[in-house]
Amino acid sequence: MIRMLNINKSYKKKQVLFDFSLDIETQREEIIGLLGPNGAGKTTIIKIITGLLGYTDGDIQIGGKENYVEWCKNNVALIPAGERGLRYKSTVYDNIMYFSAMKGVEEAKIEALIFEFADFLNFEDYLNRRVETLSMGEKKKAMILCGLCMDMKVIILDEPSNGLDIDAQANLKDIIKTLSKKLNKTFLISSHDIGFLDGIVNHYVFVFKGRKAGEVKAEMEALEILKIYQEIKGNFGGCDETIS
Amino acid sequence: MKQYLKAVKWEVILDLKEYARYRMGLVMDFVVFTGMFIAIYYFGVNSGFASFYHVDEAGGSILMLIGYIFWQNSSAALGYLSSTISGEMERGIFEMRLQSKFSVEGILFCRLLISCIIHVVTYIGILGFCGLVVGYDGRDVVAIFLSILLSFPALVGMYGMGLVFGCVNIIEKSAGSIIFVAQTVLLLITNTLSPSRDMWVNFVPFSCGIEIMRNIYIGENVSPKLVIMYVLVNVIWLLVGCLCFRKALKYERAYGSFDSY
Repeated sequence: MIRMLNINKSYKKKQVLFDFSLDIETQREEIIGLLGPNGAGKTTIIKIITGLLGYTDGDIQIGGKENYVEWCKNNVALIPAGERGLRYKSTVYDNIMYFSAMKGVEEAKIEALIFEFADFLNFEDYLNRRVETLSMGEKKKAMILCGLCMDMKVIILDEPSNGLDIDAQANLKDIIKTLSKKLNKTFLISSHDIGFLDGIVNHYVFVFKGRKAGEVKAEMEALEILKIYQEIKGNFGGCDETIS
Repeated sequence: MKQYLKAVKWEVILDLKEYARYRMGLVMDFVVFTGMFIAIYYFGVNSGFASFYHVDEAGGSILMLIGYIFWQNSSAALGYLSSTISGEMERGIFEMRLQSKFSVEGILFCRLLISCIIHVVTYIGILGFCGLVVGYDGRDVVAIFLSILLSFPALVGMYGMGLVFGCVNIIEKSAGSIIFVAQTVLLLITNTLSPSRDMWVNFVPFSCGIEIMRNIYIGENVSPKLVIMYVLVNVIWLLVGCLCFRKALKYERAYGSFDSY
């Protein structure tokens, strides 16, 4: 289990996280939804969980074992927001081999995973296409394929629904749900899109203004989530941005 | 170790494929480095070398060419490392690299080495020009070949220097034209274009290498002190570069976000 304890984070003089605590189960399938408006601090939380960013105060523990940042390098895969994190001039296949090799995965294993997941994602025909020739939705699928082939315990997706059309979003939701069950992996999804999280997430964490504003460990319908969200938003005195 | 080599292998495969597919960068380097060399040649810089080293005009040109080979290799290394770090920061690859099991510095050095080996093709311009205008004899060809080989240890120091500039990319996200300025300064203040035996010049990673090679060319003994200095200066630059780079990463982890573009 990843245990974040009272994490505070500042970017120079601006504090962006306040006493943020969260337990993430890594031994059984779990899909955590990090829900909050734009600028709430979701990406910062994700970057801290991936070991990319440090924190000003607090602690992160991983079963009382090794150094957390080193553990992340062997166990966490990040699928970044937007269209970042791929080598555009290379093919999807080469990107997967490249990023998975960076994580120290055996070549034979990567090869096997590529064809297994590409088949699952219905993406075999795109493997030899250069990333720069793909649409935004296809790039997102390529990034997910990359993340999956790294064969990590925890897969983190930052705003995965951004830029995806309705069909692609539905397809991605199915993929995450099925893979979580099939591979017994932990997914952490940051989003401001309730419609995307609805039906797949079984652990909601609400983030407002850098604080954990609430947590529900159950599957919920969109309307239920929205109700809780509105209540929390009221408690936080409203927000400039809203979720959809 | 096996996993590390596999990671390096995929870095090299992707780089080679991208080089093969997008040759424009290499062509531009070829044009710029050759054009600059031709301009420098017609400024008559070679006569300074001829009188300083007591050789004829043609020998002066080869001595100038030796310096230029060292500078071109080092300058290309500096440019490559800086543009790789800033490009990867911009496209989010650097963040992925930081989550890799393997040290960023080691992988970057392997990529730099491969890039510089590929970059050797850009020497065709200056070697061809010099061959046509000055003409080569057997000794010149050996000297040119040795210069290319001897310029490679300087990549260690240039890599360290590149990491120092990479820190600017990591913290400030853009280094602007600082690399171009650095390349120009290195061309003008070192012993590349004008003979110099000032001690301070030797603190530039490739300067001792130039002096060693010129001594070999004119048949003088190479002082062991100069060889030790060549090695030492490069190791020091490497250590300084790695130290600064680690500090910059630590700073960015604490106060930055790696992606504020």
